[in-house]
Amino acid sequence: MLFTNKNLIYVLSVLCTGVAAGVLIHQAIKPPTEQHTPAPPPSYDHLSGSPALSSAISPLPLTIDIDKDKAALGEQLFHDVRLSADNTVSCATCHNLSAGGTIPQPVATGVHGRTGIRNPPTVFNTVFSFTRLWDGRSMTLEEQMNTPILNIIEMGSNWPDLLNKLRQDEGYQKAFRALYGEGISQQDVQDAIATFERSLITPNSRFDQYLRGDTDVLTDDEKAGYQLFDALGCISCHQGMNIGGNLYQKIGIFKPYVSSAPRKEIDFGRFHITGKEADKFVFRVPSLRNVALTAPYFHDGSVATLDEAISLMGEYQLGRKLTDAEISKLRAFLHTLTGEFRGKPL
Amino acid sequence: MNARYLAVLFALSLIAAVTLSSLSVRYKTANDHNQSSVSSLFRQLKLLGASADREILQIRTRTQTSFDQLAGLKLEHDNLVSQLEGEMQTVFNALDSQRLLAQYRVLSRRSESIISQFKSSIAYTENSFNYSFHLTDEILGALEQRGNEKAWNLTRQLQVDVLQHFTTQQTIGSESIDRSVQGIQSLLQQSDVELINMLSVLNRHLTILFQGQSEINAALANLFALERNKALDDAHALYLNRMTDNRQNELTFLIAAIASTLVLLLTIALAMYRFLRLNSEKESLSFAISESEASLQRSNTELMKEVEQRVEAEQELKNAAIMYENCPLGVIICDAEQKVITANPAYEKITGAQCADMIGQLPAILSEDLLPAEILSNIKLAIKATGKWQGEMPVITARGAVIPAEVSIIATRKDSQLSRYIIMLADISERKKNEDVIYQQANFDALTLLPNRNLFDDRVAHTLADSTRNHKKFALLFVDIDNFKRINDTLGHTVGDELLQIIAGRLSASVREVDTLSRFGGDEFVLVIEDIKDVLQIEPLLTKLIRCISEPVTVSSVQHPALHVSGSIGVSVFPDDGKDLSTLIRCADMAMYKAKEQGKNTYCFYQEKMTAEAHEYMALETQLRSALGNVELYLAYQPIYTLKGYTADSVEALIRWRTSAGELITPDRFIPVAEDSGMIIGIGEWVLRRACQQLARWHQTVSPDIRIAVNISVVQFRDPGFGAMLKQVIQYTGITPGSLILEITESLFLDDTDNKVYPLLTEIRDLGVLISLDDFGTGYASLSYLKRFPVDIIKIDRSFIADLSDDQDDGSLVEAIINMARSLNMEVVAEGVETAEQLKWLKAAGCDKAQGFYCSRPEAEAEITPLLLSDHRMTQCESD
Repeated sequence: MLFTNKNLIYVLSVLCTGVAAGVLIHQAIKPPTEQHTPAPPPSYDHLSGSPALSSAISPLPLTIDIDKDKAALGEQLFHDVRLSADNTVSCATCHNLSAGGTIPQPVATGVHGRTGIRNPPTVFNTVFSFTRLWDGRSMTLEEQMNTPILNIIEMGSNWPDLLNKLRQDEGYQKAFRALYGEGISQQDVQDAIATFERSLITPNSRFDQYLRGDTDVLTDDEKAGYQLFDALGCISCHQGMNIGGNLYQKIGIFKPYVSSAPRKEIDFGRFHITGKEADKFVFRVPSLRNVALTAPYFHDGSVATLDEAISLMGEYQLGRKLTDAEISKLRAFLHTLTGEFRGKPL
Repeated sequence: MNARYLAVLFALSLIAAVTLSSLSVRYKTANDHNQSSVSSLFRQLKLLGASADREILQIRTRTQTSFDQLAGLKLEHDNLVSQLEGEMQTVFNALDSQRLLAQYRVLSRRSESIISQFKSSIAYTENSFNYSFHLTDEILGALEQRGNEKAWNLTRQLQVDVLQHFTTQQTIGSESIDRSVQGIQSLLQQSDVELINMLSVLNRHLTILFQGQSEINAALANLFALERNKALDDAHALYLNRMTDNRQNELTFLIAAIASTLVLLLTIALAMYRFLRLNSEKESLSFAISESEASLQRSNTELMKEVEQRVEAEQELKNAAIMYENCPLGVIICDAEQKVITANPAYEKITGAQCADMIGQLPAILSEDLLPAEILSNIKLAIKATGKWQGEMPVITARGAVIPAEVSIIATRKDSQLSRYIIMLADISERKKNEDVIYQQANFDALTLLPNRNLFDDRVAHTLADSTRNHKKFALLFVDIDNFKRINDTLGHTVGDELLQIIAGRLSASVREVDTLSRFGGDEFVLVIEDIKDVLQIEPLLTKLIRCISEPVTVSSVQHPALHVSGSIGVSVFPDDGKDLSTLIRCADMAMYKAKEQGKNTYCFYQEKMTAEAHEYMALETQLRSALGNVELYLAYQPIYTLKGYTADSVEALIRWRTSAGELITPDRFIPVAEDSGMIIGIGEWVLRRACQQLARWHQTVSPDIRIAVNISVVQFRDPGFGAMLKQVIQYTGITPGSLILEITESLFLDDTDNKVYPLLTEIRDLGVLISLDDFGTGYASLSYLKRFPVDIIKIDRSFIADLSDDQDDGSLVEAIINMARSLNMEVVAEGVETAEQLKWLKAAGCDKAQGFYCSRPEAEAEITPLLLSDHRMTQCESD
């Protein structure tokens, strides 16, 4: 009898009004919920106190402040092949932490055995670079991650599939709930991996020790290499804390750049992003930290050895054929840039 | 109840429900949104822009060689912009927020791309500069090997020209460089491929150098032409406008919410009405049963129908009752005599009164004893006219506390007779408390509890209007605590804050109730003394204020003996000095600075000429800022000669400023400006770096024994980064520290209240760098300084030298200084030597060195280098 037509309408109208009034009052008295704030960008504060403030190169900080639990979760994800479409490739496949944060091949092999077109940049110290990737297409680490994950020749995955796979893992479910509060979202996965990547710094290289005042730590040859690096002008671009990584520059100031590999679209560099003629052959100046470990070189990995890379830079940027003696000094200097990872030399 | 009626009721409820829930969402977001944090973000963005500009200029002038800081600022900037957008999205939709910032985003993207180009140009120009120097050296070496002296000389000249062009920006023009290169080429043997190749690479680098310079200048011009600040201001203004609109919408919301609540009430009233009606029908029915059993039988079916209806109505009533019981608004229902019939639990909770105690009583909240008569009469009038009243009123709880409440009273009628009053109330004490806190935060300074700028402006606007109307005068005092920053820096902010609180307390105790005292931030207080007859009348007060600040302050937060501070006060008077607030504040501010100039711990009245001085000062500051960008500063060098062999063994580097219009501005005009604005830190570093680079070159080209003297400002010396910077420059340029002389003045010792000078000087001396005391004898020359501080060289001020010939006293004074310096093992240099007689006299008196127009004027590097090369002997004195 209650649910006769008349009754139903009447009850509904009273209920609706009541619920609405309740919502209103609840909202009015509820304290404002905390908003999700994105992690702050890395702080450059440590620079300001440094005595080497105005010198072109400054040492890396010895430690970096990050959330250790999130970094640990990120590390697990970094090594997880489930991030790729066919469960064969993880981030670490192309960014091998025991091989300078990259791989010793020109290009990497992705899902279904497909090969890439660019040389994977090292994942070490990227927190100190101003943009990511060779052509600076990603501003943040979170953004950068999309490139390999979604690229069909790298990991070939997509976010819904990827998250589905992760959600089936009870361990992940637990870890994410503890750290992020809710289920596993794209934002959370990106945050965890990016936090891990921010922790990947390689401080205390011998050159950093030298910058910090221990002048005996370098041999005479290495010091001569540094002086040459300065005198030849290399330091104009390879500068800052990362010895590179904080500006774009054209390759081939002295003569047009031609890769030893066949001409490819990617040789145009930043032109792909901006579409400006002036940006052809313009790349993000790569960091020279740990450069002794990151062969092969250049954006397409077409240069096999450090000597060859030094010599080519001399030709393209200085118009000079560097002598063997000069190359050997410069090489000696570049070898002093190899830092320590988790307290052990790389 | 027919179906149409129910449908209308349903529709009404539905509308009310939808309106309420949608409004509630907006109400919530508007409440969460913090307008002041958005304004602060706008401000931060502007500050960040200024920092970036400064950084760029430093990179341009090469006082900054790394781009890390600039990249860091960019990250910070992007983060701020997304924070700002996030804040805005809590009130506007995403599209609107983007639109607000669109213009700014376009400009900042454009500036980002210009900065990228700028960095790249700076890098390759620096690269080519470095390398071309290196390459020229190699070419010179090759030419020497081949014995081609003519080409060697030309190449050497080219090297000097390029260096000069790049370091001093004295334009030589690419054509002249081209000509030089061609000239050299024509002197080479055409078969000498190696050399020709080297020369062509050099030529290419020089072309790149020129091209880079113009690219850099163009990038800077483009960058500074972008009106990013204007775009920010526009966006901010637009945002504030929108917020005002939103606030009006909130009012609409309030009205809509009240209307919806009324609909809800009507529903409850209807339900009660039906319940009562059916009750009376039931009574008459029972009566009929007792009259006649038989008629009961006959009307059995009818009765069943009625019972069914009643159950139905009871069910409806039950629903309404649930609502009534659980509604968070306090509700009481009174009869026509205003006696309480019932009260819901929320009402009991809010007022603390029990429902049972209230029944049959007049509701306490409408008691004539408690309620202001005005509100009561308002209620009566409104009920009579419209049957309802709504508004805020104080409500007394059972415990006797008074809480603010929002109350609605609705009179319902039955057969045109007043039957019930429904009274609903919401406790708004929380809201009121928030409003109070907001008022406090918006109008008072949190530290000193004095009115802040906001309230000050408000109050002074009244004073201004009142004084204008009644032709009265008032005085505006700008009070600043001298050297407060140093207390903050040395003893910490806790001490600084407590000091401010104590001073604020003393100031407010010294003035009348009617006078407005406010803290403008930092150590600045502004005081308005109303209704004065003439200026002199407030002098006693000013003396009192100065004295109350300078009394010793005992700070509890640290174990520290009493602090002694002083204050400076600037005074402006309405209407004599200005007719509006900002002019008055500006005048008082200027007068305050004058008081500081007059030695602090005093007051000063504004005078008209101060404005002209300030304008000139500010114009100079702006000009100097752009001078850094345009690289209008350069160094001149004046040799210092030994009086033994008349050789120039050292050179003083002197800063020069030639504006783009060609005007020479003397250092005594612009250095004070640079010191006050802090620009001296960057300029001084640039001078030191440039001078040391020059010295390094002279060590290669002239002699490794040349020394260079560089003037260091007191402000530079006080900069905590000075020591590190000095070491870095020495390391970077590779000079031997013993060939660098830092020239300081005696005022440095006087200012050494925190004993930092001595350790720093010792540290510098330990590096091997020499210390020279400039302008000796003019200041507060105290011999004790010479003994206490490590000084290597004394420079006798030019005023003593000028008077040498005609003033016997000065002569003996100079002799005394020379003898004293000898006994302390210090070197003596005479400044401002202008005649042969003076030189002779000084030599006879045993002075070590001389500097002045007679020996050599300060000249650009191009003139000085040949002079130093010519065996650096003073030509005038060879006959000596």
